[in-house]
Formats: sequence, structure tokens, C-alpha cells
Amino acid sequence: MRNVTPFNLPFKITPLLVTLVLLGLFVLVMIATSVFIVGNEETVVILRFGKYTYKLVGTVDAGLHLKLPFGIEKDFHVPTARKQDEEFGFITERAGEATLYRKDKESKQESAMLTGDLNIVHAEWSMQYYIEDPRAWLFNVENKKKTIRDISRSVINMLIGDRHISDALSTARETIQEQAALLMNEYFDKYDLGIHVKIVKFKDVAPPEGEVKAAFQDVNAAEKERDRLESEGKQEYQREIPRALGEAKKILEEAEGYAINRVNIALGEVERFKQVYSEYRRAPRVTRARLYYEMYEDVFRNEKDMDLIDRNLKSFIPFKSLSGDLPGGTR
Amino acid sequence: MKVKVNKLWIVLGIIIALIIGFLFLGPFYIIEEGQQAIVLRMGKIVSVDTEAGLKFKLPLIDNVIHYPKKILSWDGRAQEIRTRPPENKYIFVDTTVRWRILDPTLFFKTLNTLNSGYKLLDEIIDSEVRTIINNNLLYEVVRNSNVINQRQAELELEPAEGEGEIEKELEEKQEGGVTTEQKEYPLVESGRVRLSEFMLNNARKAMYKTKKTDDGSADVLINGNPYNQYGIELIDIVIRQIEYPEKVTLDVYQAMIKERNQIAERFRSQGQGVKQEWLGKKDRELKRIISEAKRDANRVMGEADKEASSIYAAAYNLDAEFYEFWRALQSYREILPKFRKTLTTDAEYFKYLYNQRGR
Repeated sequence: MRNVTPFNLPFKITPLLVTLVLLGLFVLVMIATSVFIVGNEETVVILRFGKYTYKLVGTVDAGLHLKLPFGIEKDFHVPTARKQDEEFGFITERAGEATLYRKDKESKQESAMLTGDLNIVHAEWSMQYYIEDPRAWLFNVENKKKTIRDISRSVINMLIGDRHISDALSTARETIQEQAALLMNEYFDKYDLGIHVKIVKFKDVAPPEGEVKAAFQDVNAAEKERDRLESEGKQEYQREIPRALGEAKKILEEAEGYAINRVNIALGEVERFKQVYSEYRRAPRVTRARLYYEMYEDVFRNEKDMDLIDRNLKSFIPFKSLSGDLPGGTR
Repeated sequence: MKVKVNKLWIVLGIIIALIIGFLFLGPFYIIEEGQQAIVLRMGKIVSVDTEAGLKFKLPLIDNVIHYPKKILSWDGRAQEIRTRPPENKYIFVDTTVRWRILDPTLFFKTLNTLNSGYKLLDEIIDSEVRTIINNNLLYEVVRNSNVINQRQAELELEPAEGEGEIEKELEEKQEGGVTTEQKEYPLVESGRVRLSEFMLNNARKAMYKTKKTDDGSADVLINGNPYNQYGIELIDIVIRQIEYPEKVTLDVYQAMIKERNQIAERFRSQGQGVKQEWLGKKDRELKRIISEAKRDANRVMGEADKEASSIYAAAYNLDAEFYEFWRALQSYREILPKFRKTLTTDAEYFKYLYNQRGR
């Protein structure tokens, strides 16, 4: 055989060598196309000649596995244990401690929806689902992601469309979330998509940005203002009323004091009168005279400058100056 | 020896070449899960495969056409549709459809390619959506039930918060039309989901109608699924989104702003009102408390006066004449020191002044 070695190789190309090399390649390709790894979080579906044959579940069968080579058996990896997310009306830019969100034109567009009272709100929500049936997931629906998004949007649109805007913005959110998960699962079960929606959660339901939102916020501000005014009124009330109650007590106490005082004085005076009277009863004339003169003494004892006039005299002449001093002037 | 080896090689080579050549001609074909195929022999359909697996065909002669067995999506562009007169509101309705090829033979005969399938859906769905929306009022399309009218009842079930009567009154006022519009919304007859079903039924019928060969008995079922001459199953029509045109959106925004402004004004005025109410209540309470206290005080004092008076009377009635005398003396003692005094000898006091026997 002619030496066809193009360069000066240290060995000759012989049929044996060619065969060996081909065989080696064959074996290499065979190994490369028959070995695959089953990850912990995934389920691997094996098709033999395109037909479903078996599956390997990561929780049990994780590790290295063999299949028939050269594409006779194909392995499809489905992350069945991993939570799947879809976001609507927003895009998570970077998840982390302070997750960053952004919105593009499309997410803004898909968040707008009509409420039951024909107003407009913008809803942002996310859904979490698990792939429960990997075979159904792989082979039953084309455009799975689009289908999931279409149905999720349709369900949320429908549920928001059933509510009054005030409810959609606040009280009905929880209910809508629950109903949405149920309804979505109904649709996905109908398609036999092989997934189960666990959670539908609103990130935000808000009035349209700009003036409308400002108007809504102004209502909140007005509500706070109302509460503030109300508590101002209450405060004023609370500040005055307890003091007034105290004042009322004071008035009453003073009245009680007056009453006690009045009665006690009466009792005292009466007691004194009774004592004197019992004395008087025994010797009326003498006592009477004594009281009379005592009174005169008490009243006039400390007087110094007094005149005594005798009415029986015609002329106006002082009889006597009790104090001893002469009255001044001609009077 | 060397010749023999060469011969073996030749034989082996030929066998391998034959096998490779045979395989190149394609005697096998594979239908993967989620696929189906029809086999054409010189343009004639000879077999239909809906099961996955390895299949045989005549090399060179048989032609295999694969179709998806999976559920497919059709996505219409949102079209601007007018609602039922006299409402005549324009809205954008965005619908999507799930469909699949149920009978690849029929599909091949009538539509042949997926693209023509989509085109057929374009024609049928758009017009059926339009028809249904044209014949309904906006709220029928937007809403799906009458749950919106239950909100008032729900609110009433909530216990009224607050201690005072004012708060209760306030609460009533709020429910009476400030935050929660008592408005009764018209009852939905069909609602969004049922309208979607109507669209679906009409679209299905539209697919039967074009059927010419059949005797017109439309509802053919294959594997329990509704069926038509295109071999297509329409699974559902779903309204993905309803939107106002831009101009209407702006009008709605303005209306929303006005409504909110009204509510805000109400809140503010209500706040002023409640504050005034509290201030008034405060005034009333102040007056009540003080006047009641004074009333009670006077009663207490009056009772004391009465009691004192009866005490005096009981004692002094023992001898009215003496009392008068005694009281006069007391009074003189009290009052006389305050006068500038000039005595006259008329007083009984002086009766012994001129006469030791008295006057």
C-alpha cells in the first residue's frame, strides 16, 4: 500500500490504524451520546425513537445514567422541583436584598385593565407554578410560556373587570388572588399542561400613574386630614371637660361647706339663746336689766368722743362730754 | 494472507456502504411525542400516524408530513370594536385562541400548512369576536358576574368602629355615599366568560358552514371533540385584555380625577364638620356640667338655710318676746359701734340720770 501520510509522521497509515481510529471515534461518540446526568431538581423524560419510554425523578435517581446512544434515546430535562415564575406588568431587573424592578412598554401595556365600574387600574402581579407532569409539560402544548401568560392575563383581567375600582385597589385583592389561582389551574388542567399554579400575588394594584394617581393620593390625604380634624376636636373636648368636671365638684363642695357652716352656726346660736333663756326664766327682770346694761357697756365702752343731749332742754347745749374733751366750735 | 485480509475488508466495506446507503434513502421515520404525521405515496395519503415511535415507509417514494399534535395558540391583534347601540363605545378587544389539529388528513386536504390554518383563524375569530362585542354593552364584556353589587352588603356586615355616637354617625355618612358609592350597577346577563363561549360556538359553527360535501348535520364529533371539515379543534377563545382607545382613556382619567376630587372634598368638609361638632359638644358639656353643679349647690345651700331657719324658729318660739329683746341686744352690739354716736338722755339707759328712782 502506498504511503499516503502527508507529512513525515512517525507511523504509517495502515488499514488497521484507520479501523482503530474509526472504532475509537465510534466508541467516543457512543459514550458521549449515552451518558447523561440527572440533577436533583429535575425529572428526565426519555424518548426511544420519539416515543415516551420512562422517566427518572431527580429526588430518587439523581446522578449519572446511561441511555441508548446515537439519538435512539433522547433525554429531556424538566426542572420539576424548581419553582417557576412569571411576572406581569413589571420585570425583575435584579433580585436581591433590594430587588430592582423596571417596566417596559409591554409590561405597562399588559398591566392596564378595566374595572367593573368601567374605570382603569394598573395591576402588577406574579405567579408561581410547578411543573407536576413533565411528560404533559413537554409534549401537550406548544408555546407553553405564551399560553401561561395569555391565560394569566386573561384571568386577572376578568377578575378585576368584575370589581369596583375601590375594591380592586384594596379589599378584593386577596380574593382575586385566590380565585385567580383556581381559575388558572382550571384552564391549565383543561389543556393538560402539566403544571400547577401555587400562588398568584399582586405586587401592586394602582390607579394610572400621574394625575389620576395624584387624585387618589389626595383622597388618602383628605381622609387623614379628616381624621386629624376629628382628633383635634376630640382633643379640645378632652382638654376642657375634665377640668369642668373638677370645677363642678368644687362648686358642690363649697355649697356643702356653706350648708354645714350655716347649720352649725344656727345650732350654736340657738344653744346660746337657750342657755340665756333658761337663766332669764328663773329671774326675768334682773336678767333683762343686766343684759340691757351689759349691752350698753359693750357698745359704748371704747367710745371717747361722744355727746349726750338732753331732749327736754330747749337750747342745744351739750350736757356733758363723756370723753371729757370740749367739743370744738359753737355747735 | 495479505490478499485475504484485503478481501475481508472489501466485503465489510460493501456491507457498510449498503447499510449506510439504505439508511440514507430513509426507510424509517420517527414521530416524536407531541407530533403526528401523514404519509403520502405519490401524493396519495396512505397512512396517518398519531402515535409516537419509529415507523417504516417506502424509501424515496413515501413522503412524510409532520404536524404538531400539541395545543397551539392563535394570537389576534387587538381590534377596535364598537359596542351595542345606543352605547356605541369603542374598545380594543384582544383575544387569544387555543386550537389543535385533530385530523391531520383533513387538515392536509383543506389547509395543508400551519400558516393557512392561522390565516383561517384570523378570518373567523376576528369576525366572531366583532359580532359578539357589537351585540353587547360594555359592562357585559368587562364584567363576568354581579359581585360588584354585593359590596354594599359586605360593608354593612363590618362592625361599626369607634366609641362615640359621632363616629357612628360619621360611619353612616361614609357609607351613605362618600367613599362607597351606593350605586347599583346593571345586572350582567351573560358576562365575559359566557360571551367568550358564544364566540367559540359561533366560530365553530362558522367552520361547519363552509363545509360543502357534508349533508349539513354539523355536529360531528371525533374522540368526543367538536369537529369540522378542516380537521381543527377550537379549544377556547379567551379575552386577554380590554382597553379603551387613547382618547377615551384620557376622558376616563378625567372622570376618575373628578370623582376622586369630590371624595377628597367631602372628606375635608366632613373633617371640619366633625371638628365643629366636637367643639359644640364641648360647649354644651361645659355648660351642662357647670350649671348642674350650680343647681345642686343652690339646693344644698337652700336646704341648709331651711334647716337653720327651722332650728332658729324652734328655739326662739319658746319666748318670742324675750327673743326679740335678746336679738335686739345682739344686733345693737353688732351694729352700733359702727356709728358716730350722739346720745340723748331719752334712752332708758339714762332713766336714773336725773332721778335715782327712775323716771
